[in-house]
Amino acid sequence: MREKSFVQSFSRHTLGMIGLAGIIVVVLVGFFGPMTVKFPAGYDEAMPLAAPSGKYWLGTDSLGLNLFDQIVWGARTSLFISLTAVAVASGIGIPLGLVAGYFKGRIGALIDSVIEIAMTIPTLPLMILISAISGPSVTTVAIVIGVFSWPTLARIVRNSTLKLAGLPYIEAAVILGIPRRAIMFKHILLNAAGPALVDLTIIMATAVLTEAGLSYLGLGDPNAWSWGGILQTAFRGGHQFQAWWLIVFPSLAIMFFVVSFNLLGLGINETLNPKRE
Amino acid sequence: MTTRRSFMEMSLALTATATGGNALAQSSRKVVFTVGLLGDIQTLNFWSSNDVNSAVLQEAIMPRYGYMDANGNIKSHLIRLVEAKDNAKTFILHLTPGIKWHDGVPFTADDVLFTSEYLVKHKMFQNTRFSNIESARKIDNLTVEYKLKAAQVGFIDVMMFWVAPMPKHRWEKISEPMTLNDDAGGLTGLGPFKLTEWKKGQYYIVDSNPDWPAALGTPAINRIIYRIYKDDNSLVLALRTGEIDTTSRQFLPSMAAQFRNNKGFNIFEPSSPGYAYIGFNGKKSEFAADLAVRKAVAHCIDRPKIIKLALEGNGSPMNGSVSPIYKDFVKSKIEYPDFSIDAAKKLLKGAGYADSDGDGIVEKNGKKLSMKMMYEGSRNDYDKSARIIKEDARKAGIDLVLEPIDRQVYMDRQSKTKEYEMLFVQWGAIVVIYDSFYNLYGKEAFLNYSGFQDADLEKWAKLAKESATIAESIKPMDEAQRVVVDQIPTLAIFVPNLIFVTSTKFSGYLPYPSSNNGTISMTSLINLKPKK
Repeated sequence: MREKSFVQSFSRHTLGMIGLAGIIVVVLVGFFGPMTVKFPAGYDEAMPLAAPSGKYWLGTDSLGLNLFDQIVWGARTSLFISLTAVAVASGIGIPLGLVAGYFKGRIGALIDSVIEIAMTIPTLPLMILISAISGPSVTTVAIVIGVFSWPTLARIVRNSTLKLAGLPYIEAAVILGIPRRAIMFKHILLNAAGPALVDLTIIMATAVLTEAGLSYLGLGDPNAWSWGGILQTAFRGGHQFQAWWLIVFPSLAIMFFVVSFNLLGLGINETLNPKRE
Repeated sequence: MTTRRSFMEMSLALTATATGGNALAQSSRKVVFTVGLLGDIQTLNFWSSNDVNSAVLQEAIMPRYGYMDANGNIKSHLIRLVEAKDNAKTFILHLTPGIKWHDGVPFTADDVLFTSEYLVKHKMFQNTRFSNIESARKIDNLTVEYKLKAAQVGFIDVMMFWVAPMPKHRWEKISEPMTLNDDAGGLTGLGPFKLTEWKKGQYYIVDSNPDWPAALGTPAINRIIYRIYKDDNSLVLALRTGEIDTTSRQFLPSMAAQFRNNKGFNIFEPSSPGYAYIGFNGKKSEFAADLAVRKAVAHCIDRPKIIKLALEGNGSPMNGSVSPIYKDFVKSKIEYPDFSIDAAKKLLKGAGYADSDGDGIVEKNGKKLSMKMMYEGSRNDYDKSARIIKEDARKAGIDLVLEPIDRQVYMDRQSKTKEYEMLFVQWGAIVVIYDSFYNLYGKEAFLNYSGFQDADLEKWAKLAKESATIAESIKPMDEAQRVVVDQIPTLAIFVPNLIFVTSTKFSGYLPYPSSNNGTISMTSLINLKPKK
């Protein structure tokens, strides 16, 4: 009943729906685009720095590669990075948050301290360091982003768990002898999913921004196409003065991705917490 | 008004101190020349590294025995006279008098003798320049005699162009020179400038040396600041805004175009005695060790395409192992396998490679033919070249994984740890080619990074080096080239045309043909004057 009302409520949230539509576009482009658009290649017939035209919709880069192809393939990379980062952050943050909130006591305090410490770590310099040491790779970048994104998620899950664990239906479940794992993952986590979901959308958006930042610093994967990588190549070659399209289009793609996820998060948050709205 | 001005001056000084230290704060009262470096200097131990940025700083504080003039001729400055005897088997060097190390100790024949012995003993940079010495002796404090085992017409030229003397009084106490890093302790220099302050990764400051002999020219510049930049684009912006007066690196045409027809900048376009190449390290990759793979990669190099796209047309193809600038040595047209994806595929098939899973990459013994190619990530031309080569290699079924890395890491892996499978890089200058081949491919040569060994190559390169005349060296050079294009330890790609941009705030540049430091050689630094 609640699920239905959530869907109904969310569907009335205009910004949330715009975000969802944007994400659907990105997902469609990321999953199906590479099946229809060829891998950016073909230096043989290259036209370096061609402006947007009927032949090259978004122009070409300094090596003559079609920017449209690169942005489509970049969507796949962005999705991969976002989903991997979310999987890693969830894999660490959700169990720790649940345990910390449910068990309280020493274990809870210990995990809480770890979360506190992890939240104070300056993540960007560490990400740069790890990426530099481990070498440029999309998977590495995604994992690194995920590893540094779990503390907030853990804190959110912990807070929700703390609140839910004291409710009568959980006490009833304990008295009925339902195993702890079932209580935690079925009865608590499902009800704590809303706030966590909002944070996951933020991690998705942040992951793409971070990847763009790392790529811009030259720590991206040169063997994969990414929007940050396109920007980095353009700036490194000094083409920002000659070819505006190399800056504008990948930046718009990043903005579209980030804004879509942020709007989705906003929609979910305001649907779950109508009073805040 | 006076108070306000003083306050502003004080603020500027404080700002400079905060950003660059005391020396920077004092810069406003001196003639300061600022150079932009692409990436940091690998080490202040100049004899352990073949780093172009180290070479740039070296020009000011630790010059080599000689230099190349604008016409490509090698001249001396630390050596005032060379006598060649016994049909290029004996050389007597007369040192320039009055030169002192920066700690006040005189520069003498002992330092010269020590340098040649020490570089060979510890297999340091340019060690093979002295591999032909039979005996060396000090005639007096300023005279040294070298007797060679075999005649070597290029002996003095390569020594003067490449070797910087070592201060014996400091280095004789050091037993592990290759691991010595002078980054913290500084160094005992010799040149017209002294290293006074530096912060790794940020800047190096040198001040004029009052003890430098006036006979060699007194610099009008009081201070040179070398600033580190991360990429070409940052260098261009720094030059445009006047933050630096010149850079040590050549520009691509699109970058140089921003300065053309601008009265605030000069553009120099000397030719290059260097070239870009791919190096294979068979000790780190079984595929790089496989001759069929190396030949297949050679078939995947489309030089005209690389020059058109990666160099923006500003270079020429290098089809053999000797640069076309050495006309006498390329007459025989001994060239690498030509560009042909089909030929590459055929070679791989013949060597037992096949694409069994249909992913486009061939395999052998269950392993995919994949090699990592490392290069300096900050170099735009390298990155573009590598991308083009990767794409063509893939068409032949070879997976080249690009590895653009930080310059410091690159230098370390190339010269010290040798942790690479393939590399893409550029020699700044290969001068006196008949003498230098042995320095590139000799089994003991520092620059033979992968340690490639071939008995025939060793023999012919040594014979070319040990020739009494240039004409005599042509035949062994041809034979050595045949081995290189057949065995492909390295694969030359292109010769870039050099474009250097300098601000017109200084005049007197003496550009010479080298990618290392074309406009900021020692002679240039001495000759530079601020425009009034």
